[in-house]
Amino acid sequence: MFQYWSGTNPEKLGKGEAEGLSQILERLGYGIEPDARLGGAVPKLTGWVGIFRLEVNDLSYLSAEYLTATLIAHLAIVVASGDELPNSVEQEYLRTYLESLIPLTRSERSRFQAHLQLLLQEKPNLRGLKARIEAVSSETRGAIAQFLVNVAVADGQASPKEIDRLTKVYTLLELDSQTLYSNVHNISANSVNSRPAIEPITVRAASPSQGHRIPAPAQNSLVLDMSIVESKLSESQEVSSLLADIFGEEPPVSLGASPTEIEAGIAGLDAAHSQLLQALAQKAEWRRAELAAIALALNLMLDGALEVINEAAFDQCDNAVIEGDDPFEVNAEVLQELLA
Amino acid sequence: MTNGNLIKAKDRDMVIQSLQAGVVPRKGQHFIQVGRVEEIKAVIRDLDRMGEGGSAIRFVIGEYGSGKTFFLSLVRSIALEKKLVTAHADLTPDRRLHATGGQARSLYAELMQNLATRTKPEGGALPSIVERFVTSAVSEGRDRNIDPEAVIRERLEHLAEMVGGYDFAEVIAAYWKGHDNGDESLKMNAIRWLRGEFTTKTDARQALGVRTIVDDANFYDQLKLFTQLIRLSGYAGLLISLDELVNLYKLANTQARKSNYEQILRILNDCLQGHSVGLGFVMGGTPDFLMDTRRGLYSYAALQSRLAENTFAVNGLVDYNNPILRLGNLSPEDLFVLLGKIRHVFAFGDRAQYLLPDEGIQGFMVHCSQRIGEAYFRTPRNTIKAFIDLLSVLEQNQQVSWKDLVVQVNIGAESNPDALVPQAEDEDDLATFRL
Repeated sequence: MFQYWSGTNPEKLGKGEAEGLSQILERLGYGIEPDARLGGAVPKLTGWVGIFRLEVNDLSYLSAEYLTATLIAHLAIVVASGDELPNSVEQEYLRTYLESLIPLTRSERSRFQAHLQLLLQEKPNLRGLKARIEAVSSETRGAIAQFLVNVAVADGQASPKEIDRLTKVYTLLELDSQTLYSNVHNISANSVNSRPAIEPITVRAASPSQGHRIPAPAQNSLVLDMSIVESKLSESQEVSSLLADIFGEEPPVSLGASPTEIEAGIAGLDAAHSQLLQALAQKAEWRRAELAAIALALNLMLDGALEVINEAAFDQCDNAVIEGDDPFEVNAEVLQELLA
Repeated sequence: MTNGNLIKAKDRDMVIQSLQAGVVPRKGQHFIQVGRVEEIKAVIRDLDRMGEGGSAIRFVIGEYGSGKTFFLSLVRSIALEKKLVTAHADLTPDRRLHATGGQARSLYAELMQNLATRTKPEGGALPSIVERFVTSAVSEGRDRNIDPEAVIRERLEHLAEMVGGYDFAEVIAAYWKGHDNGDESLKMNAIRWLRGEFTTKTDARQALGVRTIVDDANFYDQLKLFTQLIRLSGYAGLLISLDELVNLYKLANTQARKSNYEQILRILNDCLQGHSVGLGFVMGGTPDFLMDTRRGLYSYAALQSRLAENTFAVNGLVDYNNPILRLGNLSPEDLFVLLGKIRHVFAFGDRAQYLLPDEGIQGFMVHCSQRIGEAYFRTPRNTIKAFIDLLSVLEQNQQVSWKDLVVQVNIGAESNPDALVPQAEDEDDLATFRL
């Protein structure tokens, strides 16, 4: 096409030439992106342009929403690309949810799709966006940032490269990098929480970009989502029973121990430890020196021996039989149970 | 709420008192655990694998107030029940994974101080563990009619192949000799050596005849050696729990930060490749510590690739085998369930003793949100304290209606100590009551 339309400069169209091209295409029922008449760049002959079928008459101007949408698309592609293009999951997310974030008119929509294709071909960078970002209100910036994080995480993870780019974009958007980390974290953590039926992640509603922001619900009205409470309760119930298995009383050791074992010792302990355990029954409270003497006589080391005995007590009664450290206290109940 | 069993007074008091003091209870966390069933299952799998001679590593990432510390503490309690030995420490500017000025040794010393077993959950279990090992060697020696010291050396023989293994075995043998000869100071010196309390090699040589000490350069190797001793003593393994990793992120010196991340990489590699038998790590950190590409773990390329989350875990599919476990912030619904559980514990698990109905909890939450906005569930520590205070007052003044009391709760927002910006000193964290 450009072969027939090229003018004086073999590489680039003049402004007049570009506008003429747009007009001709419009008469033929096609639109072109970028369109010089709408403030778009003048197409380069060596670069790409997007051609799309016009369903209604083309526009005479582009709405602020459209401009914001292209800005978001631009940023999103930069963020999600890493070195290559955004992967298909991310592209899909971008296409599907951007339109729900920012409502476009029908004619803008097809133009936007062409623009998006073009961006994907061009592999944009972050240069020259300052003025476009400044045109956006600060609330919208917050929503944009959140959306970008969603795109980056759409494929299950924000890779370090994506984080790196997001950091730069957040700086451009004049947002704190702390906000970035908590945004990424919360999205990742929530998908991990895998609440069924609340997916894919819903992007913040369309309102912020409209300029008429619905005021945030007053802080003092607290509404609990009882269905979430229910699911939390049942999850917690599962945790409780899981943990009860671990922390709970263990089933009593089988009583069918062979006679020789019983002779050998109490509660699965060897002879020396059993004797020490029996010695403990003499008093409710012991000084370290007293116990150490008994242990020595039995050829045991006190701390190690008490550890072994208490371990056995835990196995059988889920509690220690002797506690403290000079003086030691004997738990009579456990001791009874062990000696029984 | 929890299963119908009553809760023992001892357990109940421990939970309530800890929460009231604003700290995580050491036992009984399971009474108040809300949700996170998959995370807990993942960790339990880790612990079981460690018991079978495997290794594990998890980074528990969550924002301030998301319950990292609580989660780590729960993991420790589970580990103790699984017959693992645990050791925990908070990283601080003076306690790091890598250092040249004694900060790494000081981390090791802190870990050894907090060494806990099921029978000594409050820490200080080092002598018990060593004695348990020696005792079993003694009884084996008796059975085989040989010198216990020979058994000790025999059992520790394979440690000699590990870095520092020879001296480690010497120290354990010294402990036995001290016991055998009634030389308390020799025993004490062996324990001091194991705790990392010797600061000069000369002292160690005079006291124990060994040429090395635990220092900044070898503390991780020492942990590996110690893990082997623990396994030889009959425990399943050693779980190291490190909190406040954000302190590494806060290190101003780039080189110091990098060296610490290098150490993390080494630990991570050892764990993932199974070089550290029976040794596992859980580490708690904030999202910025993980994700900051200039100063966080992501700034270190080799860690980046190993920590990258699974690309196939999309759309609610989750890979809980990734070393990173993310904890989301508490939602109001989580808090509602949590307060319900606290009420349950407070009433000894007896529904008939509940001091206020569900509407009471909601009323309390509404009140808190009016006072401090979102912070009441984002940083729940104060909210929980205030709630327990409320329950105590209700308990002691049965004539008062919760409706009158709830509106009087005085609660303050708390500040995030993890933030890089230094906080003002005059934060008042108290939740108070007036009747």
